Amino acid sequence: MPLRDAAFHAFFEQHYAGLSRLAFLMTGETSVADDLAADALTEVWQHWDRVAAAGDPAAYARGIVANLTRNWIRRQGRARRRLRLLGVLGGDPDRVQPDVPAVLEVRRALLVLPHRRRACVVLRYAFDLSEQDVATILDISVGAVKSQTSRGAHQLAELLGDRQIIERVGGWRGE
Amino acid sequence: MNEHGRPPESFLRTELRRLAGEHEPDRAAMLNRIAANRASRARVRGQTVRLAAAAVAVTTVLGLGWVVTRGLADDDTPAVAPPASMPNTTGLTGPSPSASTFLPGIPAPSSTLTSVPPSSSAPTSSEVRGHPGDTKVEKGSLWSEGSTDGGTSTVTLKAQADLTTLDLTIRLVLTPGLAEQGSTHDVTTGVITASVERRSDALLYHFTLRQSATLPAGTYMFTARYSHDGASRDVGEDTYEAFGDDADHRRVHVYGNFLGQPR
Repeated sequence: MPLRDAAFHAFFEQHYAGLSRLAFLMTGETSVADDLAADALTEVWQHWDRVAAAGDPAAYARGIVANLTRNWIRRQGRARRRLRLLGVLGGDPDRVQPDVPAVLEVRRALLVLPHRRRACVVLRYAFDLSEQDVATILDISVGAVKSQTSRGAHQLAELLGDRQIIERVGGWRGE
Repeated sequence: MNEHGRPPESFLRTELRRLAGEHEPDRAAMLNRIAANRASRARVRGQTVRLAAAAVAVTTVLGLGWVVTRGLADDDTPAVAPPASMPNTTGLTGPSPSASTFLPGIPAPSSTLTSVPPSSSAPTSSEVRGHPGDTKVEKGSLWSEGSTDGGTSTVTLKAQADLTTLDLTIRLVLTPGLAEQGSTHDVTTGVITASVERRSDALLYHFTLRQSATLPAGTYMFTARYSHDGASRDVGEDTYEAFGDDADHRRVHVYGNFLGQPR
């Protein structure tokens, strides 16, 4: 029985969805999430023996997804990204669609966060990983994970809070 | 902004999980992409594996992609029997006639490429970071890019600040007939020392900034030249890595490969 195939196959089945969702949360794009996660899984497969011997293939795979998504976002071009961010933060309440679903707002707000902050928030809150796990995945210190997560969470809460205030004009202002 | 009374942590947890659930991963598409990645890497390995790559493309369609690709790529394990008892990975059914090409006892067409000693699970002494998925092409004031053009592999470094130290290594994996043909760079001030080292598994091209010299901010190209057997050479495992200090005493460290930007 080819143990390597079996092991990787089991790994794929266990993690493909989570890795793709991680890529989605990091990029905000469903269209590229599967591709980036599959590229990360290709790397895992390529170096499976070494990765498995190191003991935590899932952390390795998530780290690669974090890396690939950062590269992907960079390639989208800073100008385009700024435009998108301006769309979020533009401060033009007339452009706000009152019926935009809340999840879309979270998705946009996430994209405003710097990469590492976003990665920390996503891994801690969406995937419920420990600070130590996140530190391993992103190859940073536990202290850095704490501060980045805390800053990211506050920034996100503020963005969403602001957003809700804008969307509930009247309701909030009235109170 | 918590006047609305929801503790940010549980609020974020709920919202992020809900958002994550919005994306429904396409398992089959991911499997296909993995198979295609591996096939395309195999395909650039030169003409000796063209046939095999074509066979992979066929078998990939039939759902046996990663069962048969092991004969082609740089796996550490020898060819072994397909995992017949495992579920078909793409949900498609039916055996592939092409798969028999790679069954045990029948050498894969790429077997000539396995003359390089198999690597152990430990990194080799000449390990240079920068493999796909493990790249950092930009750090602080230093930006980098790898490119290839028949018989040359070039690393472009763009330094936004003066560099007071620089060590750049280009690592070319030994492929059939690979031989160094020297190196060149466009630093005109004579401050770069260049050398080529042959290891058991790779050629290492070193470019080092002389001690107490300064490389002014600017864009520089460092090129490894080589000859090889066959019409084309696989650059998929070639990497580069550069360490340096800029004038502000900040450490810069970049690494990457020659495959272009990862998709």
